[in-house]
Amino acid sequence: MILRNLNVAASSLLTQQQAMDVISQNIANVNTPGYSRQTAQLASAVPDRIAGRDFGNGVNVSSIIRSIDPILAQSQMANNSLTSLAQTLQQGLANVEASFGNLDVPGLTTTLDDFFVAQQQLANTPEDPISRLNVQTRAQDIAIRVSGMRQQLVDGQTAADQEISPLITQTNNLLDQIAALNKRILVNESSAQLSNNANDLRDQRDTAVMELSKLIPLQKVATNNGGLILQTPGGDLLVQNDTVRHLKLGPAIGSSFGNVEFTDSGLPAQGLEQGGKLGGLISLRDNQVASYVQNLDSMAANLIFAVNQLHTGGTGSTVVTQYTAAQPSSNPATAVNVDANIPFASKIVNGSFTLHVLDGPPLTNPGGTAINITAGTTTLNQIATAISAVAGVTASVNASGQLVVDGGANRIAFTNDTSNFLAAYEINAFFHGSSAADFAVDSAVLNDAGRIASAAANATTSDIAPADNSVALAILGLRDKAVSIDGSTAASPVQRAANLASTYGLDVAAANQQLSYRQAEASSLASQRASISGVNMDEELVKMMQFQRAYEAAAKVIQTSNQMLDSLMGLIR
Amino acid sequence: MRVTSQQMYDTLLAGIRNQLQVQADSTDQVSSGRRFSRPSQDGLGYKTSLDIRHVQKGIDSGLQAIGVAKLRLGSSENALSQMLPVIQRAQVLAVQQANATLTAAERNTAAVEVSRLQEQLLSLANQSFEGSPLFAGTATSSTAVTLDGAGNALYQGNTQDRVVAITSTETIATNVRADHTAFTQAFSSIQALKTALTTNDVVGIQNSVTSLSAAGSAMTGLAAEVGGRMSSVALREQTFFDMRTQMEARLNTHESVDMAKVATQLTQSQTALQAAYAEVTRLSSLSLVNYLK
Repeated sequence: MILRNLNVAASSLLTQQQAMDVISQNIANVNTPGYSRQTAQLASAVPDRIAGRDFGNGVNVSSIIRSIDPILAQSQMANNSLTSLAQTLQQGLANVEASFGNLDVPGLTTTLDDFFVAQQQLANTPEDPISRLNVQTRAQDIAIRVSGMRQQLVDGQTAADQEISPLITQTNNLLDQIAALNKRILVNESSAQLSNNANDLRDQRDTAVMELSKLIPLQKVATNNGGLILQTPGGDLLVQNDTVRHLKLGPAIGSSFGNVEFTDSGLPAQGLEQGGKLGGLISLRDNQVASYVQNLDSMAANLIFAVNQLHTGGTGSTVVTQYTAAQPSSNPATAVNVDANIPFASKIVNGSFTLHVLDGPPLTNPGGTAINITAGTTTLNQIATAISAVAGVTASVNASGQLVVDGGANRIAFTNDTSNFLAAYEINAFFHGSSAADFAVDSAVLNDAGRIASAAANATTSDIAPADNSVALAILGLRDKAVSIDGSTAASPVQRAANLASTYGLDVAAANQQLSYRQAEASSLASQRASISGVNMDEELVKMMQFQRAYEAAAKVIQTSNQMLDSLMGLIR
Repeated sequence: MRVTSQQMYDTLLAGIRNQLQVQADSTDQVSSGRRFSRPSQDGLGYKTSLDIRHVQKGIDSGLQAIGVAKLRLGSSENALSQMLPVIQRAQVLAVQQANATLTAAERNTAAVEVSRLQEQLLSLANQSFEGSPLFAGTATSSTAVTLDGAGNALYQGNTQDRVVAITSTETIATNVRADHTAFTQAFSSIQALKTALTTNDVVGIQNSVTSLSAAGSAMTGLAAEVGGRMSSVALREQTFFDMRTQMEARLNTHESVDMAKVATQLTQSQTALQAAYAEVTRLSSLSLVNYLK
C-alpha cells in the first residue's frame, strides 16, 4: 500500500507541473492578440478495486481547454467586416472632399451663381462689352471647376480601384494561411494528443479569420472534425478545410472598373461589397463616388443643353457670317436624330428653326425662313440643301462631317429652334460637350466674347436691336428653373450642385455614424471576449500558488511514505 | 463579469481617443467661428448654407440691377422734366402771339425762338445714357427722333422696352420710348405753332395754345409715370435690403457656433482627459505581482 501512496503522489507531482505549464503559457501570452486563456482540466485517475474497495490512483490532466464563446467570435467577425467597411468609406470619402469645396473656398454652386450674376449683368447692359467678357470668364470658371471636380472624383475612384489588387493578394494569402491551419488542426486533433485540442492552432486560425474579416465579409461554418468552411455573403465558397479558391481583379468592362472574381471560374464573387475593406473600396468606387460623377455629368449635360437651346437662337454683338457646327456628324446621310456622333441627337424632335439672312441689302427674307426637320427622316445633307435654297446663304457638310452655314458677306442669325437641331449639333452654341468629362465653353465664344448671344432677330423684320436682351434674360431664367433632359429629377443647375455636396455630406455622416456604432460595438465585443478569453494576471498568480502548494503537499506525501518505508525496512533489519 | 487589466487599458484608451476628437472638433469650431465649414461636417446644414448664399447672391445682383434701373429711369425723368419748360415756353409764346394786334414780322421773330425750342426738344428726345439713346427702345444704334423736311418728328427706335432683370424671372421696364403720345404731341404741337407763326395764321396759333397745353399735360403725366416707377423701384430696393438683412441674420444663426457651449465642452473634455491620464498611471501599480515579491 505504501508503494501505492508513492504512485498517487507521483501522479499529483506530474499533474501539478502540467497545470503550471498551462499557467506559464497563459502568463506568457497575456499580451498576445487573439490568444484564448487555457485551463488544465484535472480529473482523478480511475481507481483500483481491491478487496471490494476502490483505491484512488491519483490525478491527471484530462484535457487543456481554451475559454472561448463561438457566438461572440461570430459577432466579432461580422462587426470587424462592417467596421472596416465604414472606416474605408470614411477615409475614401475624405479623400475626395476637396472637390466639393467648402464655405471659405468657392465651390461649384458659387461658380454657377457667379455665372448667372454675370448673365444678369449682361441682360441689364447688353451693349457693354465688359459684361460679355465677364460672362465669358465666368463660363470658363464653370468649365474649369466642373472638369477639375470630375477629375478629382475619377482620381478618387481610380485610387480605390488601385488599392483593390494588393488587397486581393492579402486576402489570398490569408485564405492560404487558414487552409494550412485547417490542415494542421485536423492532423493534430485526429492524432492521440494529450488534450486532443489544438488550442494554439485554433487561436491562430481564429486570428487569421478575424484579419480576413477586416478585408472581406465572411460566412463561417465549423465542421465536426475541427475543419472550417468560409464563404462570401453570396454563398461562394472561399475555403473548405485545406481547399482554397483564390480571388483576382477581373478586366475593366468598357468605361467601368473590373469586378472581383474567382481565379478558377472567372465568375464574380457575390456580396463582397457588403463588408470589409475590399467591400468599402468597391462600394466607394462603384456606388458613392460613381454616383457623384454621374450626378455631376447630369448637371453638366442639363446645363450645356439648356443654355445651348436658348443661345443657338440668339445673336451677339459680333457680326457673324459663317457658322460651323461644333459637333461633327458620323454620317450626314442618316437622320439627324439618330446620328451616333451627336450626344444629344435623341433630343431632336419634329420642328423647325428660322434662318435670318441680314445685311442684304435689301433683305431678301425679312422674318427669316423656316427650315423644317422631321425626326427619323431629315438628314444633315437635306438640311444643308434646305439652307442653301435660301437666298444669300449656302450650307454644306465639310470633310469632318460638320455643317457649315456660310452667308458670304451677309450676316446670319438663327431663331426659334423648336426642333433642338441647333443645340444638338452645337451651331452658335455657348457650351460644348455632353457631360462633365468634356464640358467646355464653345471655342467661338471663348475666342470672341462678342459671340455671346443676348439678343434675337425680330420675328417679322429680322432686325437685331443692339440693346435687346431677350436671349440673355432667357438664359438668366435658367438660374432657378428646374430642368431635366436626361430622365433625372428636374432641378436647377445650382440646386443640382448643392444637392451633390449635400449628398456627399450625408454619405460622410452615414459612414461616420456607422463607424462610431461599429467601433462602440467592437469595443463592447472585445471587452466581452477579454472577459471570457483574456488572461487575468492576478487570477493566474493565485492559481499558480494553488498548484505550487499542491505540488509541495504531494512531495510531503512522498517524504512521509519514504519515512514509512524506512520504518518498515528497519523492522526487517 | 471577469475583468482583465487589458480591458481596463482598452477602455481608457478608447476614452482618451474620444476626448481628443472632442478637443479637435471644438478647437476647429472655436477657430472658425462656425459649427461647420465642410459638407462632411453637416450635409444638410451645408446645403442650407449654400441655399442661403444662393439667395444672397440673387439679392445682391438684384440690388445691382435696381441701381441700373434707377439710373436709367432717373435720366429719363431728368430729360422729361427738362422738356416740360420747353413746352411751357412755347405755350407762353403761343398765347402772346395769338394776340391779333401783332404783326407778321413779330410772329416771324417768335417763330425763330420756337425753332430753337424745337431743336432743344429734339436734343432732349435724343439724350443718351451710357452712350445709348435713352428714348429709342432697344434700337440703340440710331437716334430716337429725327425731323423730316417738313419738320415732322419721326421715331427711329423700336417698340421694344429696355427691361432690367432684378431676379431671374422678374423684370422691370426702365425706359420711356419717344413714340409715346407725350413726345408725339410735343413735337407736333410745336411744329404746328412754328408753321402758324411763320404763316401768320392767328387761328392756327390759337389752336396751338390748346394742343401745347395738351402736350404739356401729357408730358407731365409721363414724367409722373416715370416718377411712379422710380418710387416702385425704390420700394423694391427697400424690400431687397430687408431681405438681405434677414438672410445675413439667418446665415449667422444657422452657421455660427455657440461659443459658451463649445467652451464648456472643451473644459469638460480637458478634465476627462486629465482623469484618464491619471488613471493610466494608477493602473500600472495595481497588480498582485507587487505583493508576491
